[in-house]
Amino acid sequence: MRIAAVGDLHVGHDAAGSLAEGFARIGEQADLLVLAGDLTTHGDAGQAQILVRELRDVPVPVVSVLGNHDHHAGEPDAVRRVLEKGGITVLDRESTVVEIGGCRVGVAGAKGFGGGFIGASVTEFGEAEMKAFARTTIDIAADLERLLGSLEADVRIALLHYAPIRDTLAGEPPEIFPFLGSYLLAEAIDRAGADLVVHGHAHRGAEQGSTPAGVPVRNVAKAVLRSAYAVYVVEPKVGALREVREI
Amino acid sequence: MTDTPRGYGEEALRQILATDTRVLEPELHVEIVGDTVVVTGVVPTEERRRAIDQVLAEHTGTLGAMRVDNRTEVASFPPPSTQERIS
Repeated sequence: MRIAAVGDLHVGHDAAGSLAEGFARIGEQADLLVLAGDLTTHGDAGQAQILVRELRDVPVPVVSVLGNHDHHAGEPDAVRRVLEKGGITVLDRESTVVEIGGCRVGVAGAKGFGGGFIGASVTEFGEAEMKAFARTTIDIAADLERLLGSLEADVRIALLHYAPIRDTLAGEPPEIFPFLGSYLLAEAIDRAGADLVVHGHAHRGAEQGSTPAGVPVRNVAKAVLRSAYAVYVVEPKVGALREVREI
Repeated sequence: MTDTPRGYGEEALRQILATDTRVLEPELHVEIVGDTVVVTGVVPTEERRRAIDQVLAEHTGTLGAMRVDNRTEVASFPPPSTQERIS
């Protein structure tokens, strides 16, 4: 199963005509496209409409999560409606199963949130604001574990915006790691199992990593990939990942 | 009263570029060298690059720099040119 993935497209009002060419051959290279959030620069529904127009000729199913940028204008529901009207499946602590050539590809999607990583993570303690920060990720991770655990599919993908591991943040300033992801997301994935984890958000990060239990993690922020998207091939029977980067 | 330390001005300009809706680029590097603010990084479009000049022109005079040297580059994300190979 060929999974195309990219995140952090950051489509602004100046983006019309800038993306379609990059996706022109995706039908030859992939069976599914997943978008790892930050589809827009600041969560304006008009920007989502531009993205829909840019992707209108993509011939494979498209599944997405939203990112922090898509929340900035305070209208993520409007962004979601525009995307869904354009045929893009949007997951917000939800899952979907896409049947492709007799193979069931399950995607559990959540934006995720911050909190940091083992040895340097926030705790649900102190001021109400800090408790709320920590609790947000705890709740999202619990949902992610539940969603992955209940997916009945031949291939299971965890689709996030925030990072579940530290490895794919390499290159980012360590001071901002707690705002880029949380180990709780990886813990949930390792408990429930998955064949591939895709995230974005860390533009200066690294593409490859894995959870402590060995689940492959890929940071597909566009700035990291330096290409329109990456393609990952997951073998349904053995759950093995072979990675193929387009040139 | 002493001069404002340079770092405060650099960070204020970085915050402006990250939050002004004409730019919204949180990962640009901003450095004030003498009387010039030097901006480096990658932006998605030529329009966004021009917006950096416009936004900084509104703020530089009050934040420790008088001129703008916009060294940002417009990113290119070409379409794939080879087929994937599966062994």
